[in-house]
Amino acid sequence: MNRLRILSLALSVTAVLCCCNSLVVHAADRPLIQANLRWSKPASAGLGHPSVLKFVTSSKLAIAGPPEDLPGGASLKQGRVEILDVATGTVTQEIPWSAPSSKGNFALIAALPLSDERFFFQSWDQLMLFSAEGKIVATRTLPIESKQADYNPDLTLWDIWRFLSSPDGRDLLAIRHRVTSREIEEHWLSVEMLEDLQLRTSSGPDNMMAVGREQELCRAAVPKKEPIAIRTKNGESHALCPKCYGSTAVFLNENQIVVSSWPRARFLVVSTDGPNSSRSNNRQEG
Amino acid sequence: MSVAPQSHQIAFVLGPQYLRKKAGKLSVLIYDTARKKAELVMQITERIQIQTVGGFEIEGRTGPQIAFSPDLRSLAVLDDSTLQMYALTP
Repeated sequence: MNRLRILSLALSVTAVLCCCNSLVVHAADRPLIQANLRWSKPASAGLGHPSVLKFVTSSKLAIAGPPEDLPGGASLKQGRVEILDVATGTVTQEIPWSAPSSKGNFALIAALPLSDERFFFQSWDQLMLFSAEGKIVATRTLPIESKQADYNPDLTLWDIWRFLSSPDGRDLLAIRHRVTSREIEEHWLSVEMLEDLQLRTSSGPDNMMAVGREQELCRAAVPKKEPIAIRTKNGESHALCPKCYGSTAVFLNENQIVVSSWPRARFLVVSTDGPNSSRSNNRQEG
Repeated sequence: MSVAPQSHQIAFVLGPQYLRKKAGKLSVLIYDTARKKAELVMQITERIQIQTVGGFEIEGRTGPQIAFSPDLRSLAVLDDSTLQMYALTP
């Protein structure tokens, strides 16, 4: 999938500013931003294909290896996430994690940067909020239900949780895909204590892509037929803009959204005002 | 695609336009929404792995995993064996 995405992005490097006076900017042939090697180190055993490679702050990198089954057919698999100092590459912290062996390898771990250099970490059903110094300041245990698959008695299905944070790291959304019902729960969590601030339940497909302070971005049910939608919390959704067809959209900040779209490799920078905004002033295409 | 809210920048990766026999290059670029300009940061050669499955040779092309810091001042590149950290300076 990543390869396909990269290939689709490879179609063009041209950046086009779509304004009254169209301006075409080509990517430079030589680097204008210098990338200077700070450090290099062999990847630790088991860290070759991490499920997490994420900066949790500007000075801390989280890297996790794939889970390892414990010997003897244990019911748990385990792993660890290393927090590296960006300046030196030294491991400043290790966070162990574990999950049932019958659980798939996806959606086990999440690491998100939050405001004030704090960061959020999920391991299976455990949520942890870390201070800038790397101390745990809040924890929470998530409910996770399971059931046997109707079509395979050897297969156990589990609830899946996804996590999104706003660009400023002051809003945190936990999305629960329940295995026992078609309902999807959206839990807005406090970034101070991780308790529920608001719970919303929906029966539609989970299509949430990104969250901001006051708005959410939703992938269209049929992406090539409908543009990406935006909605205010608890409000009705509407098309972000008439041309906002895309596979991915993220908040650049509270006022701008970046949409990665097809068939040409391009991205749009759109005002959060969406269709209410002036086309010539509020949208860039790249 | 990564974004840096403070600096209004967007980082993204472009792959080779066509598949060729030899390994292509992945280009890492940063688009500055204020300056409306995309700048090439670095190029990384993709890795070609050939596995024999059931008598058939299957070719896989993979790039390294890449992550940008929230301020887009750092770039982490991880391939099968090495983790590299770059400082990004204009």
